[in-house]
Amino acid sequence: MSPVPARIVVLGGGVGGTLVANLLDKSLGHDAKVTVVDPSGMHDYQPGYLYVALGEASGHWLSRDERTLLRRHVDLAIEEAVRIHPDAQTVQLRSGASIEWDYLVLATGARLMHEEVPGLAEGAFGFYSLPDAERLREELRRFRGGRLLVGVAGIPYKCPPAPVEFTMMVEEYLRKKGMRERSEVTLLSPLNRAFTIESASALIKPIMDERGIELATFFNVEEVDPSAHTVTSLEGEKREYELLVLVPPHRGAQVMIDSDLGDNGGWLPADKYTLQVGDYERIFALGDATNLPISKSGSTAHFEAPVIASRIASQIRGTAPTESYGGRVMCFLETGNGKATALRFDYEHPPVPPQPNRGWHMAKWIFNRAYWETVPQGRLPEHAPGTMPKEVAR
Amino acid sequence: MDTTDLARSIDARGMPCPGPLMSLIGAIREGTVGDTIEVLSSDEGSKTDIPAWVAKAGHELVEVLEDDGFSRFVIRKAR
Amino acid sequence: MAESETFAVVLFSGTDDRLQAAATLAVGAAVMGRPVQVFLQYWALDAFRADRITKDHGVVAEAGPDGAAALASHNGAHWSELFRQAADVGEVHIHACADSMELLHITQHDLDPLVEGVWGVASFFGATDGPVTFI
Repeated sequence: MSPVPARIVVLGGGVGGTLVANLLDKSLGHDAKVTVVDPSGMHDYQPGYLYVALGEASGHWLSRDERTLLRRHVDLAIEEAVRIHPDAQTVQLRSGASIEWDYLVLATGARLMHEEVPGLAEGAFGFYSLPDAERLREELRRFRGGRLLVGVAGIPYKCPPAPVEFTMMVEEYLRKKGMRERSEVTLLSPLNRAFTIESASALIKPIMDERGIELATFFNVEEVDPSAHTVTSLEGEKREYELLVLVPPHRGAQVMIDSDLGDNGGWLPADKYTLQVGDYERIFALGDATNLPISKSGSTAHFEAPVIASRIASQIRGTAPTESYGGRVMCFLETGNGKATALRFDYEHPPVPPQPNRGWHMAKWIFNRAYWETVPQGRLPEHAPGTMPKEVAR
Repeated sequence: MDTTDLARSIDARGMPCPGPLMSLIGAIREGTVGDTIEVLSSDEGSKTDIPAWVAKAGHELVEVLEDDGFSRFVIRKAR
Repeated sequence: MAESETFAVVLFSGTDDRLQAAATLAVGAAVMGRPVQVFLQYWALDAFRADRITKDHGVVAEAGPDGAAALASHNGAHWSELFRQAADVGEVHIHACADSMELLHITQHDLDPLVEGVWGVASFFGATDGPVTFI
């Protein structure tokens, strides 16, 4: 038991970092001093960008001052971390200052790297950032018909449902704008099916067929030719487009690469249960920043955060850890026409997605709007959003 | 099989999303030609999915081993 | 994380507008992780009869013709479907009030499978000690 408050530094003020900071502060009080370090000091709700691109939402409700989401006793340093020293237990900041830690939580997320795919920045649109979503929205408004392709230009990427959701919803958008007859909508899937999860793919494919949405399989985008309007896959296929929407390549934060903590892509090796980084007992990682082959999804960070908060608290108190991450993920998946399904699973239980329905679309809509007052502050009960389906609940 | 030369080992058992195949594609994209990558998968579909993509993308399926409740795929990035 | 407080609703009204509102609240509570306990009384109970659940139950007088038209033309799911879907989203329980059953001469057999059982008032209050919403 430390008489001096344990210094806990959290790099990154997204959903994972904010929630873990709040939970640590709530459980440890004056036994710890928690500091969140974030380069922008703004917290973004990324699931909203899809709706911005389709003209259904404005960006202004998607970003908030991180300070308003953190408990009073949690410090916020609006700074960029440039080097992590695991043995010295310090983090060097861009300003030149150095911050000491007893425990470190890495929640630095994923960066979009448009420039890594030739022709992507000039030739393709996207919706993985607010500026990209706004640009795409304007392009869709100008669109007068043609071949609209949606694809993936790098793996791993955040939110596996998103390209599928966008494809389904843009098809509906074109119908509403009277442009559907003049257009062809194609999903370029990196896999041999519509979506990563087979049971969800089986639900989605008939809906795609019904709506005349084409599925191209094993299409991993390698380059774009903006003047010829073609996109080429590493599998050797080339396609023409009038409007190309791509998920850009992603990488972990530069500081992880510079600190020799991340792998090739800058992703942090983390234990799938304890979320500890490599052999470092006092360094944890969560959310998009890890190299775990699990979904890069806000919900993953949301379910991982309490585990890390509990394990750090146990270390500080000198007690045995009681919580482990069981692989829980919860993702909504919009299928257009006011319907959605849900993907709920963990390491022990595969997902059993329901037939897309309006109830789940409504649930996503409500959850999106309730986010700011509930998720980052840890105000949701542990099992939410929703619950695990009855047939797989433990 | 000697696994000391593995550039990357991906334990995707119990992880349906993004799934063993998607994780393999990512490792190949991030890797260097000549890298040997191992994927552990408990998903039945991987037994057809992984060899199918490896062949289409022009890489080498070095080995497939069945273990207790999962399969071990070893792939070499050939291009 | 937080404890989840049960969202307890006494559903008394049998018009489609109020039933739609109740179903929407049930979906919201369910996704936010709150167990939902619905207790059907009087005209709401009557609306849950299997043979008439999806029939027109009208709207309240204050809706007026415009309100009625708005509800009729809205392209959403019927409230009975929303309750069913809410039960997949989260934990939702719907019980019939025993006294209302007797008053209206309804048996469990007459009710849609959404209604999982019959409770007396005491059982309903046994399922929640928090606030109760009356619709």
